[in-house]
Parts: sequence; structure tokens; C-alpha cells
Amino acid sequence: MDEILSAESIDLEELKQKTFFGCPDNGSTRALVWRLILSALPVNKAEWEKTLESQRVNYSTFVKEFIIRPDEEKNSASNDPLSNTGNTWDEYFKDNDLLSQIEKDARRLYPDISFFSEPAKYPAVDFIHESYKTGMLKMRISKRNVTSSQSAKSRNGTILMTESTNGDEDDDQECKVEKNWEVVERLLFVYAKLNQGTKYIQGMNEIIGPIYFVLSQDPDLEWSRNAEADTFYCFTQVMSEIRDNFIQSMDESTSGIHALMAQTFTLLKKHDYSVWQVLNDQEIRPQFFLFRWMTLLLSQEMRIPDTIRLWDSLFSDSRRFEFLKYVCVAILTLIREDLISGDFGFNMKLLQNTSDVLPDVLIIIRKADELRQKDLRKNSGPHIQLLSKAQLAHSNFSR
Amino acid sequence: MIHESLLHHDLLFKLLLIGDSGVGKTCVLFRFSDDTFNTTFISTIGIDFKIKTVELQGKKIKLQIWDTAGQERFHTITTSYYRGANGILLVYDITQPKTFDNISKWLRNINEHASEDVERMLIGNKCDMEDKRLISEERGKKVAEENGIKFFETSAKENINIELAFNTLAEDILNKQRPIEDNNVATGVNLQGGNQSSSGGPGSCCKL
Repeated sequence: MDEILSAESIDLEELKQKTFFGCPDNGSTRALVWRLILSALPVNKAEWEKTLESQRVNYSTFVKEFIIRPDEEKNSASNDPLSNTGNTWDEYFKDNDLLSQIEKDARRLYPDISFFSEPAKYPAVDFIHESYKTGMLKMRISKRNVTSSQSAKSRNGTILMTESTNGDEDDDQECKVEKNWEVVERLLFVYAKLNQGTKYIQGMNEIIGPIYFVLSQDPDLEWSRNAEADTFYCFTQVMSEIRDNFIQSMDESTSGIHALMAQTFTLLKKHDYSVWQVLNDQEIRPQFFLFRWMTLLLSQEMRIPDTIRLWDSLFSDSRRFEFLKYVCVAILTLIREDLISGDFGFNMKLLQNTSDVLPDVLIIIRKADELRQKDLRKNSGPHIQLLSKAQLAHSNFSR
Repeated sequence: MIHESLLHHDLLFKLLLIGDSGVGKTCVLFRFSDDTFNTTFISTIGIDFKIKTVELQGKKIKLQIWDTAGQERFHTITTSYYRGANGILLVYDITQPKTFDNISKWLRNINEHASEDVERMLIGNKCDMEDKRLISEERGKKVAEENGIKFFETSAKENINIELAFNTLAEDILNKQRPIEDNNVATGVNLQGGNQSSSGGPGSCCKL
């Protein structure tokens, strides 16, 4: 892999083929490879500096635009309540509702590991602006009882004011430290502001979490200090491909989540009829478990190191995210004995708490690849031929 | 272990937890089913599922409880579960007025998607957080009365009224079904022991 990465112009197809079998867990490789295969970084190294510079500047402009500026405007107006006029305030209140939703989910991201509740190595004060402190999201959140639209109407003013005073004292001490989950919160808020069609949907936190986890722990400090901005672009790329899963109005379309789940069930029927039959007979619908599995790219079904390893393979899929369907089918076939002997209650429990029973992630990936290869061999469509050729080239190369 | 043997008179009730995101639906469910409390629950995506068996009026009742995601986006997924539910717990957070304001929206959802005889219950959760309370118990009671449903304030954290709420709901369902059961055994509320081939998705009320 180092050889591929050392080229002036990186062969993306070759990189994907290698990445499918996993990136090394130490060093900077994975963080770099993910940027590349997610197209957040051009393959031509000569373009890196310019691209990164412009992406990072753009991101900090977004933060200033969506977080710092509204806060400053609000603060300058807040001395005179009568000046609370017009759309700026409306929007500020609406944003606070959005923010409190994101905050709830960012806060409860991966509670089983300490990373997200640890201080961020490069908080926003460092990389954006000294004045970021004024727009720190946590300050807004702690005051949201006072400023958000619904509570502003609340009758119980006394309690509200007491609340906010207490909150401010805590904030003074706390605002020096920014935790990793707060970085995730800011990332999701900026994404929601930029993507008004989707805004924030629960589950996006589970997609951005592992990406930020990988990029921010890059031992190469030149890269990790820009983890936040770069995560934003990687996440945006992933979302552009899986966005339809999150959009309610897309549910019934051919690219929506229902179609994806149905295709996976069809695949299961083909590769393991007995398991399919059990699920079908027991009326265990795909949306009872596949909805979460697929929307979150299985990130809630396994521990974070396994998720990351799985995502090496998912991201390097040349028909992203076709391989995800095979992974889901592989999981079902690997726990088939339990499923076949289980009743409805037992099976539902099993499918919703797979992390205890799943075999090693490598076994899952191998099984999924095996199923896919089987289909590739059977199928002789033009696309498949192309793929087989590439694989042939790859095996020649390794010989 | 896998096949739980069921007595002839065992019953299965399907319950559904709904309400805005972050009101503590998952915590309420975990307190009831596992008697644990954890502040660090991940957000529910789509639906979650738990089974708990209770004994009421000398009958073993298996409660199949579906926990739903609160965010609007998931409604198309979750409303399909309303139809088969025997009971619905609508949860709000006494410290978040917006979750209380949305009760009417959730009740409309129930009217639209659940069967007519579904037992409903209103739950004001997080009643241990007295210092952050923004919705009085009276307001909760009033809304419940206006809609003719029972109401409890609960705390999953301090284990207040959780079991009482679930048991009351189950009992109300039981009492409602009893006359039917006495008249006609074949209505589907009785379970045949360990009949594995029959099913229990939310669309198929009262089968296992």
C-alpha cells in the first residue's frame, strides 16, 4: 500500500483493491486513504496543497457564517429586546432547535469508548478564530431554555432565568475545553445549515463519528490538526452517496432505503433460502433490523475498531455501497443456526443485538466477498466483465 | 431456552413507545425490562424491541414492547407498527415544553394509524428532575383527562412509576379483552404453546 501511496499520481483503482483487504491500524495510512477513496483529496499529489487549503478555508468560513456571526449579531442586539425584529431572530431560534437535537445525539455518541468525551486536540479556538469562544455552541445550548423558540413562550420565567445563571457559571469553567463530541456537533450543524433539504437526521452522527475518530487520531500532526475540516469533506462525500437513506420522501423511490432493504432480502433469498424463509414466516420485516444496519453502515452493530475495518471494505467498493448488501446477507448466514432454531422473540433480540454474537469482522467480510464473487461468476453483464478483468490484473500483479 | 413454553392461557400484548426524541423512551423501556438505567443510551434508529413477561390477575402475559425513534423522519417506518399495537405509551419530558406541546400531534398519529380500541397512556418522564421541571403535573393530568387516557409521571432514573405504568396499561388491555375472550376463544388473544411457525410482527396482532 505504501508503494501505491508514494506515486505522484495515485492509482485510485489499485488503492481501492488494496484497501478492500484493510488498512494498517497504526500510522497515518487509513486517514490518508479514506480521504483519497472518498474523493476528499485528489489523486494527483501536486493538487493536494491547493485543494486542502481551499477546503479548509471554506470550512472555517462556514463556521464563521453559521455559528460565529449569528451569535455576535444576537449579542449586539440582545441589550434591547425591542430590537428583536425580523428574520434573523426567527432563524436564530430555529437554529437552536436544530442544535438541541444535534447536541442530544452528539453527546450520546459511542458511550462505550471515552474518545468522544475527551478534550479535542485541536479545538476551534485554535484553527478558526480566537473569537470562536463567543459563538461556541455549548454556550448557546446551555442558554437554549432562554432563547429557543418554544421556551421563550414558556410562562415559567423565574425558573428559566435561574437556570441560565447557573448554566453560565459552569460554562465559564468549561469553555476552555472543547470535547470531541462538540466538534462532531459543530460539524453536523454546519452540514445541516448547508444542506437545507436534509438538515440533520438522527443517525448522521453515527456516520460522521468513525470518520472523525480516524482522521483526528492521525499521528501526523500536520494532518490531524485539520481533522475537523477534512472530516467535513469526507462526510459530505459519503452523505452524497447514502443521503437517500436518510430522506423520508425518498423512502419509496428506487434509490431509497426500502428498495435497498428489499434488494438485500432478495439477495438473502438467493444465497440462504432457509434463513430467508424463517424471517419471512415469522414476519420479521427488513425494517425491523436492516433499516438500522443499512442506514448506519452497520456502525451500531459492532464496536468502533470493527466498524472502521469494515468501512475500509465498504468505502473501497467500486460500486459503493453495493457491497453493504452482501455484508448484511453474510451476517445473516453466519448466524443462521441460531436464526433457524429461534422463535420470533429470540430472533428479534438476536438481530437487534448482534454485537454479542457476531463472528470476527474479517470473517464477515470474507463471507460477504465470497457471496459477491459467486454472483459475479454467475453474472456476465458488461460491468461484471470489467470487474473480473481488473481482478485478473490484480492477481497477475500479486503473482 | 429458545422456545419459551407458553401455557394455554398465556397472552401476548404488543405495546408501543412513542414520543419526541430524547424524552427517555429507551430508558423507560430498559428500566422496565432489565431494571437498569443508563444515561448514555445511543439514539434509537428505526425501532427497538424487548420482551417482558408479567403476571396479572393470575395470567402470564407476555409483553412485546416496540421502542420507536422519535424524529419525524422515522415516522413512515414507525407508524406501520401502530396498527398491531394493543397499547401505546406516549412519552414526553417534563423538562422540555416542546415535547409536551407535541402530544396533540402524537395523539393525531395514533388516531390515524392505530386500531380504534388501542389502549393509550400518557407518560411525563424525568420527574426526578424537579429543579428543571417546566411542565407541572397538573398540566399533564389535564391533557390526559381531555383525551380520556390515563397519566403517570415517571422517572426511569429513580425507578418511579415505571412498573406501575406498564402494569396498568397491560391490565387495562386485559380487562378490555376479557369479555371477548370469554365469548369466543378463537379471537386470537390466546396463544398456542410454542407454535413456532406462526408469527408475531406488529402487523399480526396477538400471534406469536
